[in-house]
Amino acid sequence: MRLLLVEDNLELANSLVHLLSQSAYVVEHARSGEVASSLLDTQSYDLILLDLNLPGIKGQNLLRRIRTKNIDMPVLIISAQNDSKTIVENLDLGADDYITKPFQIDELEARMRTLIRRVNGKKSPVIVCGSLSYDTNSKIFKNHDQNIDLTPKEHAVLELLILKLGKTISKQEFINSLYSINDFVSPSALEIYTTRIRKKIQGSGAQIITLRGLGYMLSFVPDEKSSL
Amino acid sequence: MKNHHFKSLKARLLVWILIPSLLIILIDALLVYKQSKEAAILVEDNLLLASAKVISQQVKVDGSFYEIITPPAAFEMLADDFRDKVYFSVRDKSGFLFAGNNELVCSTRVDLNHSEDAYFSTLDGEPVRVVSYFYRIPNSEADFVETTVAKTLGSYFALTNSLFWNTIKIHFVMLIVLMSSLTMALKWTLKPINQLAGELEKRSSRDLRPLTIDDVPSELLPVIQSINDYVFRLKKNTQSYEEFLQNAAHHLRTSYAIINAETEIALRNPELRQSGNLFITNLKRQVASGVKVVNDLLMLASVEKANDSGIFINGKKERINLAEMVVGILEKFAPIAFQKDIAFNVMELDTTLNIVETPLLIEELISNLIDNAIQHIPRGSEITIALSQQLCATTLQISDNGHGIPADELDNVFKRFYRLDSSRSTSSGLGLSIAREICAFIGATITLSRPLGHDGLQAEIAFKTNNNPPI
Repeated sequence: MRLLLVEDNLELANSLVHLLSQSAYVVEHARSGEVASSLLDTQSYDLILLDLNLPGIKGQNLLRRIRTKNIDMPVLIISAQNDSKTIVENLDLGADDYITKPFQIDELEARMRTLIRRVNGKKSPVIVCGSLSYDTNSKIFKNHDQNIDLTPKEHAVLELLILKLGKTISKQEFINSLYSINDFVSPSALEIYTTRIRKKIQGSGAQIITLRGLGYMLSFVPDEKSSL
Repeated sequence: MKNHHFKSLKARLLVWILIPSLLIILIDALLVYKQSKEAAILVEDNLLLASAKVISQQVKVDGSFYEIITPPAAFEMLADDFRDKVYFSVRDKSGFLFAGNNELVCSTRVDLNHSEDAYFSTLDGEPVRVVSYFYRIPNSEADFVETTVAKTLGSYFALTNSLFWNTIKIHFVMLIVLMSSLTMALKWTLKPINQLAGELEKRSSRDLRPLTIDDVPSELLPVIQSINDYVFRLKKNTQSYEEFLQNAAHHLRTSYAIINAETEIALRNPELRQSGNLFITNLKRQVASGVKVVNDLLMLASVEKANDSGIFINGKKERINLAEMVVGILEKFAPIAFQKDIAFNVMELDTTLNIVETPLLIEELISNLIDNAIQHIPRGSEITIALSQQLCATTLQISDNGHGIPADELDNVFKRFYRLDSSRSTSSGLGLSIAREICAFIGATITLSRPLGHDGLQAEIAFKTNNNPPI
């Protein structure tokens, strides 16, 4: 994967080049809009990371140039401006995503992956939450690359949760969805399933969180020590 | 603070009119006193002279004998209410006293050329007014008598005083009329100034609109123009302050982005991960809280600006389903709450409630309250959420069973950077200030209280009901 990073701040650029190289990206760095513009005349990239506040040609103008030249490389804006007016303007100008400084590297990489995937027209079949993963094709759950052994009902519950990752699923939704598999699932049975699943996915960082009165949700909860 | 009294223009004017008026009255009073005395003495002298004439006319000459029957009328006309003593004497041309009091000597100045004389004297130790009258007896060529009448000064003083004080009384009545009409005139004249003051007083401290100059008296015009000039300069300052804030935030964000990236490099380095993990994790946490402060400051600034101008520039109004928004926010905070072993408990969630507002503001408002609760309650606590339609407002209650806030601190927690427990560094100390500013902007009310039946804090937002269109 070839990336073009357009960023005038050398320290940030160096850190990003370092980090992204570790993740097997080939990163070229342009310190100004002019340099980036001339690079884009001859080179092709899988993704452009673009800062807005550049000396000389501003990021927004560079973006306009890129789009008027019909270059359809995906552009991810990295900016310290977080007002919705600027964000909307740039997305309307043809940026594919927008992330505000300061950002978490994990989030930046996740957004980059999504963009590249979208452009390549492929939807990733694997859903990841921490070290828990689910292959929607093979229907296999893995934790740290080890298959998780689940009963059909547990599998159905966890599948529902991971398909709506980060969203609450009410008990009624569970019951409706599981009805087709089994005759009837009582709310108390649901609790037993979630308790069992919690044990089986322990250590993956993925957690089934109970929101009393709403339902359950699956979410990545980082270990508190290394978290923010 | 030299002379508080004279800070008032009205008092200044009144005093500068009162002092000369009093001075004029004083001078006038002296003159009036003199005139009163003169008038009183004239009255007195005329009476005494009339009395002397009546007495004199009773003198009859029989050869070398003088005969006199003193007439009661001569004394009656001198009678008064002041118990004044009356003396008289009638002497012949040789100075022989043939009637009256011997103590009363005749005037040295009365002779053929001067038929009468009036002067002050003393009799029996009392001051008296004396009138001497030189009377030529009819039908006898060279015969004449000199009649002297004297009276103590009781009636004279009484007349003087009454003349004097009556005039002074009239003066004072005039002075009072003058001062009160002046006061009224001043009040009426100064009305525009008071109106101006009232208008300025009513304004919020951040209202920087210029004052209108229509219908303003010409004398006030320069004042208002100066105020408007001043306000214009203030406004420019505020604008450059906002620009400064934006720039500062921009730079801070970039710096934080660099620190973030560097710490990430360190965290991903296996060697450093072993030796400096705790240090780097702390660094990362501090950066996160710094970022939060910067973002909260900008948010507060933009909502404050919205409250000044009446427009929030970073978003448009949309119909918002409150239940959906609350659930979304709870989902966002669920992992953080889970880490702190804090449970969310949704008691009531009316999914039919909608408001028309800027989603960013409502999200920020509710997020701040949830975040505030998570930051300030101990592990194992619970946050209870209830969204319902009350009698007159759509109400969102967020309550916890933490330690709560003492009643006398409830107002303080809305202040910027105010922290009950200053040892906590994860909270920016701006969340509740932002919440209050947002509520002020959208016309909602926010109330903090102690939940019913247990310790903790309950935040209640009552949204304006006329904001809720029927579904």
